[in-house]
Amino acid sequence: MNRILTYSRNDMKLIFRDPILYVMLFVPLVIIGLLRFGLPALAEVFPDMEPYTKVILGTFCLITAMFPAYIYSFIMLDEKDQDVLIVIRVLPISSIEFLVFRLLFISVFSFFFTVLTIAVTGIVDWSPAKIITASLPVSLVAPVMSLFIIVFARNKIEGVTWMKGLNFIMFLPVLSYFIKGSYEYTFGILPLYWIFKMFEPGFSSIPYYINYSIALIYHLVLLLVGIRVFKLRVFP
Amino acid sequence: MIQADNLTFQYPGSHVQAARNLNFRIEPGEIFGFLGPSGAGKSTTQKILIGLLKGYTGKISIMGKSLEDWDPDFYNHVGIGFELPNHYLKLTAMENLRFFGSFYSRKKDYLGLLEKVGLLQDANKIVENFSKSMKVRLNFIRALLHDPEILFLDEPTTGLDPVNSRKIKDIILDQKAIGKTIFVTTHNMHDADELCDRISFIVDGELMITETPKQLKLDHGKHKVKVEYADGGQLIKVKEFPLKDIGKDQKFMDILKTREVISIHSQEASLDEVFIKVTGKNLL
Repeated sequence: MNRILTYSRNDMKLIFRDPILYVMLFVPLVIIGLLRFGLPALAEVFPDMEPYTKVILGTFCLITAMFPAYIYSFIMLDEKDQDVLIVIRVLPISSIEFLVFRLLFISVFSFFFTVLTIAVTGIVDWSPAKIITASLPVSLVAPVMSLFIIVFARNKIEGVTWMKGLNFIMFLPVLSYFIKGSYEYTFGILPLYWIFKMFEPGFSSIPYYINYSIALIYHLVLLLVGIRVFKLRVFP
Repeated sequence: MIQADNLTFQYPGSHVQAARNLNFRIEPGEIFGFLGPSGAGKSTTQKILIGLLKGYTGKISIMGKSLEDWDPDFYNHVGIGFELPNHYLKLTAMENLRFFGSFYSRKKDYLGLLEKVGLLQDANKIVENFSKSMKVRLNFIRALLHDPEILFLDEPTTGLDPVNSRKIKDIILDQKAIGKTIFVTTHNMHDADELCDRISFIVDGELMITETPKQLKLDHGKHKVKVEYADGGQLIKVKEFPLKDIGKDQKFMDILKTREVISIHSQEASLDEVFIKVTGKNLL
């Protein structure tokens, strides 16, 4: 418990002393507010949007859930840049403890933003249990993304490039809603396809619980692979 | 305390060995220095000894236990000072020390340490605004936070002015006085001379010689004294006399008795000269 407090207190100081990170922490709340009040108004003006509101919800859940990934990626890229990671490696803790705590914080923030997005926007009428369970796989996306950025980017500039690239790939599964037939399943190679399908199956006939299970397992596997690669490349 | 046998290391993708067949033993309470030019393999050796570089061959034993058998508890026993400052720049000096100190169970005296290196009045300043010298000093005391038995210090005085360099060297000597074992890497011969009980010259990953600084200087110097004296009026003369039986050297004794002696220097070599003589390289 003490260790969690140590890490979180340190991280909060790092976030609140950097104006960019500080703003990033509150952007998801602004997005959720805009969605809550803006989407119904838009739906009135553009009634053709109606079939896509759940896709829009899924997209915005992912967008808000990504902000913790951006924040922590910047923090860890700074730690990499400033050689602080080397100091952490020579602390009397297991090499993985530090990373696990960081990924946990990212996940908790993402989970919070996802639950809030689903619950506050009122687009779906899900039970609290379904909101919480559906938010679990979404909250794994951000730590996976963060791991990729930390492992492969050497500095913040490269980090931003990675973020842009990964964001583009992340939202490619949206295209599957415009493809009828078995071709849409080729998007299944992308992990976020299964999360999108949790929110709105579209033409797919795969039931919710299968989409959910694949989304959860796929992201857990990616997380474990990411941790392994991090250990090999960053904390060898 | 620390023993390396046939230690060899090659960076992945490199064709040359950064450490070649190194053999050395550091006794408890000793300050042992690796002296060599940049890129000689000093920092690489230190990184291997502190467990940051894997994939070496040979054997390393620290506190009687193979390095490979140590778990993270190893870092409770060793303090590491890196060559380049590495801090959370957005945190204050005190916050940095408290964060890293919180991982150790031993009681820490943050203010006492800051005071020792002249940073007490800057304890609550953001490290981003520190000068290089201040960051280096903060780096140094971080290694002492948990009162470790062994200190690994990589170029501990680099980037420091003479006053602060003196402070750091005094603390290192204080640590030795209370029984700490210290491994220092440096390319500064004066530091090595002043601090180390024994030094090893390292060049291109190879240890060329290991000896006490005093012995090295004696072995490679001239066994003579040089006397500078005024020979009437403004004329200054210089003469050298062999050290052997110097008390029986009549010419030497005459100068002492009858001339105005300006200086007398024994002709032992400086470490710099010994290094060049032994390795054929400069210490830069």
